[in-house]
Amino acid sequence: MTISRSILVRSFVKPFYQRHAGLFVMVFVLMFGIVNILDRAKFTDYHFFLIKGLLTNPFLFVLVLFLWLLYIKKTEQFTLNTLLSPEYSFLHILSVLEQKKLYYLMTGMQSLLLLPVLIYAAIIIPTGIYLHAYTGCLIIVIYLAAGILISARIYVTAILKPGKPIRFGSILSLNLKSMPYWSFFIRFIAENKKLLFAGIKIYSCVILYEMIRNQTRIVYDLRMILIFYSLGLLGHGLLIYQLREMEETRLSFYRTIPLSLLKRFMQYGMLYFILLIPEFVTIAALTPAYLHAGDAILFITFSFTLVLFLNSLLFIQIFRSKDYFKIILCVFFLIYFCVLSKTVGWFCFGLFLSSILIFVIGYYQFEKKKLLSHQA
Amino acid sequence: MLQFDGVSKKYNQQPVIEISHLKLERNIYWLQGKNGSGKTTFLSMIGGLIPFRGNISVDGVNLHEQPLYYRRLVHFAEAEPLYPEFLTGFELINFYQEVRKAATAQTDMLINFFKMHSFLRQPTGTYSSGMIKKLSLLLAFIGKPSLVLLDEPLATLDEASVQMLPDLIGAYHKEFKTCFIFSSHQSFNNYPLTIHKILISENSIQEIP
Repeated sequence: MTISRSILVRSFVKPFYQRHAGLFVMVFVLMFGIVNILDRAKFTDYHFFLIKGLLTNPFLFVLVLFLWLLYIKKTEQFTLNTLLSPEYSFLHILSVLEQKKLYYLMTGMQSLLLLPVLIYAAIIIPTGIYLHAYTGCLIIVIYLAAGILISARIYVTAILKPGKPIRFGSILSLNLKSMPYWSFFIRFIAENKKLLFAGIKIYSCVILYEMIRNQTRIVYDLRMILIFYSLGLLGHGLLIYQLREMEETRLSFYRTIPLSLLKRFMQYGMLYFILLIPEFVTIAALTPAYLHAGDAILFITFSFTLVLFLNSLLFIQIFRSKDYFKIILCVFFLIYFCVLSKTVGWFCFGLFLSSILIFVIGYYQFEKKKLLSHQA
Repeated sequence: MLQFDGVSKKYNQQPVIEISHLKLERNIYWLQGKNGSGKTTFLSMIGGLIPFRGNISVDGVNLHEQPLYYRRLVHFAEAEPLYPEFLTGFELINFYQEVRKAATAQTDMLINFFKMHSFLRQPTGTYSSGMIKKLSLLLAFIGKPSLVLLDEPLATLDEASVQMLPDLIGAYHKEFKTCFIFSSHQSFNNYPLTIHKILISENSIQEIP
C-alpha cells in the first residue's frame, strides 16, 4: 500500500467504520441474526429468497437502491466533513497529485467505504445470474459503479477547489424559488436524520410487506399486523420529537409569518403525508392481492392520523423525551384495545379530531418551557 | 397605532410585564431597560411569539382575534436568531419574499444594502453570528410592515452596518410610515432619527417624554 493510500484509509475509512460501528452491528444483527432466529429458516435459504424477492419485485428493488443511495450519501458527507476539519486540512496537499492519480485514489477509497454494500452486491449478482435476472444484476453493477465514480469526483473537486460549495454533496439541496415550509423538515431529515428515518421506514415497510403477504382468503386477520405496524408508526415519534425541537429552535420565525392556522396545519399534514409515502406505496403494492381495498384505506388513514396526532401532542408542550415516550406507550395500549375491540376506524377519527383540536388550541398558546428560566 | 389593554405576562406565577393601558403612535421607539427587565419578552409578546393575557392590537387589528392579519403587519428580528444550518440565505429570503408577497426589487435592494451577495448562496451553518444577524435584519425588512420589532439589532454587527441600519429604519419610516420598536444597549442618540424612548422597569412600560 502506498503512503497516500495508507493515509486515506487511516483518515477516512477506519474512522468511518469506527464511528458507525453501532449501525453496522445493528444491520448485521437485523440481516443475519434476528431474521434467522425469528423465521427459523435456513440462513442461506432465507437470503436466497430475499435476493430473489429483491430482483423480482420492482418495489423492493427500488427500496434497496434508495437505501444504498442513503449509505453512499452518508459516506460522502463523512468524507467532506473530514476534509473540512482543521486537523485534516493537510490532505489538501493531495491536490499536487496528477488529477488522474487523485481520482484513482479516491475511487479506491470510496470502494472501501462502500465495502458492506459491495460484498452484499457480490452475493446478489451470482444469485441473480443463477435466477436469470440479468437486467437487475446489470442495473446494480451500473448503479454502484456510478455511485463510486460520482463520489470520487466530488472528493476530487473538494480537494482541488477547497472552499467551493459542493452542491451535489447534499441530498435535496435544491435552490427552489418556491419552497414550502414542510420542505424544511424534509431537508432536515435528509441532512441530519437519514439513518433514523431509514430505520423506521425499513421496520414499517418490512412488517407490512412480510405480514400482509401471509394473508390468504381463508386466513385473513389483520389484528396482529396492525399492532406490530403501530410500533413502527409510533417509532415516528422519535423523529417527530426531533423535528419539533428543531422547529422551536431554528424555525421559531415561522410563528411570526402571516399564515392562517389551517394553512399551518396543512403544512404538517403535507409533511407527514410525504414521510409516509414508503408505507403507502407498500400498502398499495399489496392491494388487492393480499389486502382488501377497504383495509388498505384503513391502514393509510391509521398511519396518517396517528403521526399527525403525535405531532400535535408536541404543541401542548415539548415534553421531556421520557414523558413523551410514556404518552406514546399509553397510545400503544389504546391502539391494542381498539384493535381487539375492532374500533380502529373510530380511533382514527378520534385521532384526527384530537390532532386538529390540540393544534388549534395549542399553536399560539405554545411556549417553550425553557423560557421559564430566561425571562428576558 | 399600537395599543395594549390589560396585558400581563407571568413566568412561574411571577409577573414580568403588566400593562393596564398603553398607546404608542407611529414613531420610532427605543426600548430601554436593565438586563432581565423583560425587553425580549415584551417584544416577543408584540411579535406574537409567546402567549400572554390581555389584548395587543396594531392599527386596530387584534393579535388574538385576527392573528393572520396581525402577522401581516408586524415583523420581528430576534436578538439571537437561529436558522436550520442547511438552508442558504437565498432560500430564506425567497421564502420570506414569497410569503409576504414582496417585490424582487425590494429584496435585491436589501441584499445590496446589507452587502450580503457574497455569502447568500452558502448554507447558514457556515455563517458567522454577524452574518446571521444581518440576514435576520434583512428578513425583517422584507415587505411593507406597519410595525417592525428589532431585538438588539446592533449586537454583533460590523461598524459599517451599525452606521447604515438607522438610515434604513429612517427610510422605511418615511416611505411606508413603519413604526419601529427596538431594544439596544448601544446608543442611538447620534443618528439623524427622531427617536422616542420607552422604558421597561418594574414590570411596567412607560414612554419617556
